[in-house]
Amino acid sequence: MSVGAALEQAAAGDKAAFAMLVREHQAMVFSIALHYLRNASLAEELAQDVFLDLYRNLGSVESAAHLVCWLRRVAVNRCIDRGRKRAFRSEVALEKVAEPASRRSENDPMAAEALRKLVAALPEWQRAIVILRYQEDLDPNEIAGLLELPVNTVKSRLHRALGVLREKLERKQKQEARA
Amino acid sequence: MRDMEEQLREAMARVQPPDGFAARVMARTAHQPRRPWYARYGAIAAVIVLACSLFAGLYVRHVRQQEAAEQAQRQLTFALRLTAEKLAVIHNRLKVSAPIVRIDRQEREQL
Repeated sequence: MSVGAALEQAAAGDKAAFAMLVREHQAMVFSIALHYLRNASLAEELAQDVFLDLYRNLGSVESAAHLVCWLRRVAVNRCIDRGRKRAFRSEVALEKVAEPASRRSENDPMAAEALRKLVAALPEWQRAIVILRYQEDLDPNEIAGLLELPVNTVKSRLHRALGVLREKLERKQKQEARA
Repeated sequence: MRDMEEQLREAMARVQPPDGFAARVMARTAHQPRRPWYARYGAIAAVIVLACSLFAGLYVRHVRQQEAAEQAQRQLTFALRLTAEKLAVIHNRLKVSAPIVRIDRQEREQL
């Protein structure tokens, strides 16, 4: 069954079709929350809330593409709201979470973990933009449309975030080389 | 050092949620009321009705204030006209009871 057909059936009240939509998009929503919050249990709770929101608003989702866009927007907005409500400490280490769903890093897992920590330390909008750019592979125009920000703002925040990440990563690598 | 963007793509790869995620979501949907398709228009309709009521209320208040002002103006005009008529009557009576006496220059010199 295609996602479009599942969407129509789910909107008509078919729970099996809705479960298929959840399975199809769960990695995307959960990963946005996990990379933003760096807390597996909070990420799961937030991802569940996003899908419950979807369940309540199935009638307003028009197509499969709209669904993906809708889920990304709601997930990012909820992450930003949650991030503002409380300061986070990672309760479950990322190593304990399941393996990546698609690409698997062939390189140093420690470096990837360090990079994820640095991303999680970025200011909220920069963090959201970096996640959408490198997890979801969206270009700045698509991110601007999703977050309702001017394209130039997205580009400048992305540029600033990459500069900060590069600088911190180099400093960390120099420290490790010295030690 | 490898390309920073490539490293980010690898570090930010999608991760599957813990097993049973979809089942837990479905269990929670059992307690969730579905919002009918027309529900999203309810809030908009409520705002429109509220705005129309407010506008109608303000208009009625404006009309009533205008009517009260016109009535007050009519009453004031009537009162002024009545006062003017009474003053004219008094003025005429004073003229009759105390006629003006004209004294010419010769009489004034004699006095």
